Amino acid sequence: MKIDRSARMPDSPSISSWRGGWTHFWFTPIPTTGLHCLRVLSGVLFFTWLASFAGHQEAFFSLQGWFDREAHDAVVRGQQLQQNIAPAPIGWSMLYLAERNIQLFQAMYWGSLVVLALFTLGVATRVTGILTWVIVVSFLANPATSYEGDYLLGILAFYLMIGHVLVGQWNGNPSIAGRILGSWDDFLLGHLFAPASAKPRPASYGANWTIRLLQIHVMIIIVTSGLHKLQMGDWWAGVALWYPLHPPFHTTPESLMLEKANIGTTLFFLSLLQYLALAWQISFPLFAWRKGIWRGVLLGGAIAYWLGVVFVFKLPLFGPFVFLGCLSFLEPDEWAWVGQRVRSIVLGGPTSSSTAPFQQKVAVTAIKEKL
Amino acid sequence: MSNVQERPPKPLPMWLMAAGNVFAVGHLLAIGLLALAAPSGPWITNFGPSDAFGPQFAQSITNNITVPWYFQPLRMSHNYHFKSNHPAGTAAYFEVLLRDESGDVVKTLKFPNEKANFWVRHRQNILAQGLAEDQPVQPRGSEMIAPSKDKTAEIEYWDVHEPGTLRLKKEPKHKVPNDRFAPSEWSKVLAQSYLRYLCREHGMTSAKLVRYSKEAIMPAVLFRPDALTAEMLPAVLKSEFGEYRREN
Repeated sequence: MKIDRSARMPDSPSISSWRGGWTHFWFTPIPTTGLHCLRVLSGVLFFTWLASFAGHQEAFFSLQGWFDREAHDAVVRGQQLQQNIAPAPIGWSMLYLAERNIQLFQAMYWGSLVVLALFTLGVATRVTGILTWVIVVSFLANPATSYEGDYLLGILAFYLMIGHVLVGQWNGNPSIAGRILGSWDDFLLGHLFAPASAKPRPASYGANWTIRLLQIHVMIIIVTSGLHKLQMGDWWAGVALWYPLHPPFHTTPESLMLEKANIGTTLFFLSLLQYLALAWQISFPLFAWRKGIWRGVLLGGAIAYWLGVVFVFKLPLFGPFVFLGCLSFLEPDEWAWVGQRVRSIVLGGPTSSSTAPFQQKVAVTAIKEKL
Repeated sequence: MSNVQERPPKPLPMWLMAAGNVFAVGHLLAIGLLALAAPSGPWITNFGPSDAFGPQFAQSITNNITVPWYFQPLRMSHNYHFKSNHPAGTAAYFEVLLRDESGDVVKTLKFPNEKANFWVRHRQNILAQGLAEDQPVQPRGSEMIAPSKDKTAEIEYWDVHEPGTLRLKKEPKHKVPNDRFAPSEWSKVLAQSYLRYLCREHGMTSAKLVRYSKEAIMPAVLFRPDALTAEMLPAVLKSEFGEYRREN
């Protein structure tokens, strides 16, 4: 099953030309399924991330916590003198509005969880999308607990906000309420579970444009991180995975002696795995936009990366971000296939019957456009 | 499939496509320059290992325009050179001794707390790593000028109190021995802030922070012909950050 994306651009130049290819890449309207699936999965990630601090939110994020007002002012004074004391600059955060008012701070925290849940469920996505971004970046504010993976969540939230603000504004003819709040069709993937006769959602230029931005940003992050690793001898020597597997406080002479007999084999496989991971990162742009077997390399690599980062490096958030970033490369027809599979699993019944109306509609659309 | 259009989409006007192009190119170019402007290294130089700056064009645009006016408000100023890419870091944990009014140690807290859940322990670990970032004290020249009365010329550095134990010591710059390390400014701010928090939380009068750190174990130790002993592995280094006393 394949959607002829170029057939939906009535006035587009030929995609074989440079200009046509550029326009096709950025300004082809696409179904919004991919954007909404990314919203649901990212929303679950945002909610889980913020909920994981429950019980410690005051210690982690308030100006009465680990990083208090006095420390905040010391860092800000340093920033004003062009001295970056903290590992990350202190910017704005809605949490600073609470100052020392703990009740207000608690209301902000629990309210934020509600907003993230509403965004995930697809309620008033234009408004909750903006609020979600404000919430995610506000909770990055504390440099005492700031973690690199947190910044990646801010990136996801940023593009999802833009995508949901733009979707349907040009091509959807929404009502005033729909233009401000967003479409009710977003609600809990309602479009995936709607009957085949339901009114179809128009394709969106905004969804494609936003997803393209996200794709390229993800590519820059993955490749930059890969090239950064090449600046370190341990990565060239193939022993980078050795260190997280041997934490200094938990490794004893006895445990090392048990490994000694097979150290050659251990390092052989560790270095091979590490080089495969590096190759995946650095060559990412070569396969990320390709279909067929390369989808296995893209998504299989993302899953392997996730598992490695969690179980070897004990780091949260990097894995889910890379996986979601890789999912953003799926084309509309691939998302349609995923949607059908999910529908058939959740609702039961054969997939072929639900495929037919889709294929018919695609064919009808293509014929109409040719006429 | 409900997500398929029935009618062809309205074509985008030229001005909207131009705006989309300008934003996309400008935004992504700025992100690329942000990544490029990051320092690289450390590389071997005639003066020992040293980081290299990013190219000047990328630095100028990033530091003067895009970071302060665009990325910082958007909270996207990370350059994707992740600290976690450095595999052989120093491991650290710390203990806080809380004292009451009479000066008795009432509680000793250890962080990261092994009983905390994964997410909380991870944040505690970040705090511990923040406290473990020591920096070499700038080496003084061979000839020192007479000491000044200016107290700001004093430097706080790690002094070897006894083998395996370091204590913070403040001395005029010209008296600081070469090859010494000092906690980063960030470590000191963090330690003080965290001690204030614990004193508030537990209603204690004073608190003392002690850091325990250990260098990474190199795989080369396993290629030694003899049996491994604890002495062949890096030793635990105890660093006392000093005491914080609550002011009422």
